[in-house]
Amino acid sequence: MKLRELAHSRTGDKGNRSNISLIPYDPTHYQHLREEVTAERVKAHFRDIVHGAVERYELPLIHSFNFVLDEALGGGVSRSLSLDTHGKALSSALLEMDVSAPPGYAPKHRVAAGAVATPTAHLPKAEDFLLWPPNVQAYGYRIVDKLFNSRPIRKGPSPRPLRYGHQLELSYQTANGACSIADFIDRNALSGLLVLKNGQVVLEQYGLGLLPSDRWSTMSTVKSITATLVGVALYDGAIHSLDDSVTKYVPSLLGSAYEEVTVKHLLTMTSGVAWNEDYTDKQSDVNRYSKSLADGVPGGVFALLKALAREHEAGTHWRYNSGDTFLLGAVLRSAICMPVADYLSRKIWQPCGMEFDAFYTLESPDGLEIGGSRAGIALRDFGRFAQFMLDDGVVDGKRLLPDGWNDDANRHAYTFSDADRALMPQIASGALAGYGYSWWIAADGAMTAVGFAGQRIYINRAERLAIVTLGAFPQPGYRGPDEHDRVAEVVAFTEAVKSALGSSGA
Amino acid sequence: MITTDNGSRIVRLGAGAGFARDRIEPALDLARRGKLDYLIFECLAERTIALAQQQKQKSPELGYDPMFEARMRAVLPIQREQGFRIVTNMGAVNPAAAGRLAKAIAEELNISGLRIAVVEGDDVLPQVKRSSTRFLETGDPLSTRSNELIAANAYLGVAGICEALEAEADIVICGRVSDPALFLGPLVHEFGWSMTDWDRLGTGTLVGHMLECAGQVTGGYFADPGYKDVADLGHLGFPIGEVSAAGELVVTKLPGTGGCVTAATCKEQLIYEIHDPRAYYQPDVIADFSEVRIEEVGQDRVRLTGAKGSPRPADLKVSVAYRDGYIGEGQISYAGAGAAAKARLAGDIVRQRLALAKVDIDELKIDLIGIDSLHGNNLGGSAEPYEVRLRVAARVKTQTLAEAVAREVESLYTNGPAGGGGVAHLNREVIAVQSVLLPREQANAVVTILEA
Repeated sequence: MKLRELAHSRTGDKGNRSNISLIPYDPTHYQHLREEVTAERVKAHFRDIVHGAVERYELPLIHSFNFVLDEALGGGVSRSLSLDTHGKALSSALLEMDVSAPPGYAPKHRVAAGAVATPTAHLPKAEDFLLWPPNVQAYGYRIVDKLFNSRPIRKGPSPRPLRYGHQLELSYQTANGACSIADFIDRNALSGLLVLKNGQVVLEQYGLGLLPSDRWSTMSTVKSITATLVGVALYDGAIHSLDDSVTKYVPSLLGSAYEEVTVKHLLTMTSGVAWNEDYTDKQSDVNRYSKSLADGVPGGVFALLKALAREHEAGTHWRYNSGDTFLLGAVLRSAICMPVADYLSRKIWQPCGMEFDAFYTLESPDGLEIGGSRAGIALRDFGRFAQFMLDDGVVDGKRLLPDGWNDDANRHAYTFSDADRALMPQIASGALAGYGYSWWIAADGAMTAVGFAGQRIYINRAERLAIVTLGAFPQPGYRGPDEHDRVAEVVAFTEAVKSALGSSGA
Repeated sequence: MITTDNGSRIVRLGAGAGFARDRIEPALDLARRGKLDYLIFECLAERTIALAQQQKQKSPELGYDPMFEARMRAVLPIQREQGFRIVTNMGAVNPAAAGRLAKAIAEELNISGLRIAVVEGDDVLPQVKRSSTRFLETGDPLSTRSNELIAANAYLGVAGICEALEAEADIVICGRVSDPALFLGPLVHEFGWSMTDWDRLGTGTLVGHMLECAGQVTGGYFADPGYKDVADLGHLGFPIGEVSAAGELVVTKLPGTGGCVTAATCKEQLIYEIHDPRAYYQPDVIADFSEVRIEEVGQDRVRLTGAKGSPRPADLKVSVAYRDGYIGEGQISYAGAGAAAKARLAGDIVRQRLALAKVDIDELKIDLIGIDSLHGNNLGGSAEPYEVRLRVAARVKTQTLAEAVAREVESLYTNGPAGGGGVAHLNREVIAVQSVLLPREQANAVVTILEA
């Protein structure tokens, strides 16, 4: 939660030094803030602004703190080039800090009796993220960064304009007869649909009120993006080899079941560590992982992963595991020595000329990026990423991915069995044949990023074709008995696009 | 002064201004209805005194607060009716000229028998120039700036104010004294506190600290809609401090005025512009606010107790102002989709042009107002605003170079990205302010009395 919910603040200046008070509304929160808002965290929060030391003074009798920030005012009020030469607005910036909720915290009605009614936006419950009803999905997937801790993936100074070709027109067959593109969007609660053929946009449609600038939740499609970043780091030399042990980068896992796991095992979901990814079971590993993330517990996911047991020898069994991708993020973070979001910005977002800042959500306030779920990306930038993959990781003649990386990523590291199909119905419905470097390999050979509730990036390199579908597929409790299989319908639509656009080389 | 039922005396201090350009009418309301013993105007910030020095260099009759005349014209007739005394630092670098002006205004308004005290002695430029002192902030010797020095003013304590009040002054016009001293002086005078009673002096410093920013303790610089609502800020009332001989302070304001005095407003002001709460350095005491208690004792009435003090420091703090080049600045706006990209491109163009023209720049700042101008990219917003204003500011050595910076922004009209409009530009001389320490024996208050 934001510090602003718990405390108020005022800034003063003396020379090049700023002082910022922090005063909890509820005096019983003093101890909690004492632990949360340390001088170190304030220094990190203001790292671009404060060039000197940060000191915290405590005033326990009035339950308040005073932070003194050295070299914080650009040389002082008379010399500073800043618009706010006094630093008066720094108090508001301090209150933007993310903190964990105090034990037993319940938001109070803080407005004094008789005060003017204040318009307030109520936000959906973050911990129910995977359980929302359809009306909340449509809204909530657009504001993920308001519900969770996040870190921006900055775009560069100028976006790369997309090229637009002739508008795609088609119809496709369903059990209810022939359907149009508009039907496709309506029947499947799609918020975004983008088709790129031979480097040109031939279809760009928005639904459910989505705007081009909105960053829709990626869900697990971001696993494939994080995995691609591993390729970039390999090309960079930051990661030495995919056969490196995970503990080379994350030594705190020594002694856990991850000790014999390599980077490639994480990429291909073959760590062999016991894991239950059942979203409907509150006690499953994935839901305990989600709970830790929702509470923003620093190190909470690590503690969970360290305690996992080994089920199979590493590299022998495939199991879809969001914990493994989380760890992949930790490996990256350690190898590249900068936040994963910054690396993604520098290596892909800026060179590709992304149009909007994207974001990763974080394990805890200011913590590690969650490599495997619910980042936020605008529709066209999903498209630009797909084009980057179609271009084999080469931008303006400059190679960013190792030669042959996409071939490896697109190769079956694991081929699905009938048992897998029985266990995960979406494998059959989605016409998925195997799993590569955190890409699902479709029956037609396309590399596919797949996420909860209808998110999908389909990349068919042979046909120079990419299809991005963003959606809010209703979840089991909200589906009628006779509703169609939406995952299968996306496959049917994909086939229709392929035949409408014909083969590559046009 | 009011005497309460149990015989203890209460002094009522009103704060009539919190900075040089503050509103006048709340001070007049306090003057009329506040039953004040003292009305105090604090108007002299670190940099204000350097600007005043530049005025004085233009004319020997200038160099006091630019709003001094307006304030005096408005308040002197009320003072005559109500009988409170006025203490202010509006004399800035020329208290004597301010005193002569006050005398002239009083005579013009047919106010006779008015005693005006002028407190000088804070100008220590000669002493500082002779010394081998170093700046506290950067550690550089003062001599590195000897050619650019404009002013050096010591923060004096209450001695001059007390002397003036002993001499029955109705108005005490100071230059640089410590801000809390404007309030502490009257309390020492009224209650006869010893200048070695450190806890009392610490308490009086707390009184001054709470009141000196006027509206900042009554709900100004405080409102945050939905979180901290404050009623009727258009009629914000200025504060009154009720102080007992024992040093108990109640902060309040006039009924019927806007704003509020609450524990929260008082907490914010208590911590405002202090560093270590245990050691707030003042000329007459090192005040300790770390054990202050704050309680609401009525509607818009907050009691503060528990301030302490320890012996005064050996040195006085001196603000030294010096010329430090110029700042040239230009701004231009872009709108609609792509506004930020256009503004960024415009910034890149200006950067390139300044390099091509070989404009010698000490420091350059390029801001996108609406995106990153206040706190940079890390804290700044990522959402695309509808409109963006590019701001280019550069610190340079000469006015000509400052104008060149502004001109490069203006030329974006016809040479920059599409749709740039609303150019504004300015350049100003930089008067930098740093501090040095001076042995207190080298700066003494000198009081002169004028009579209208």
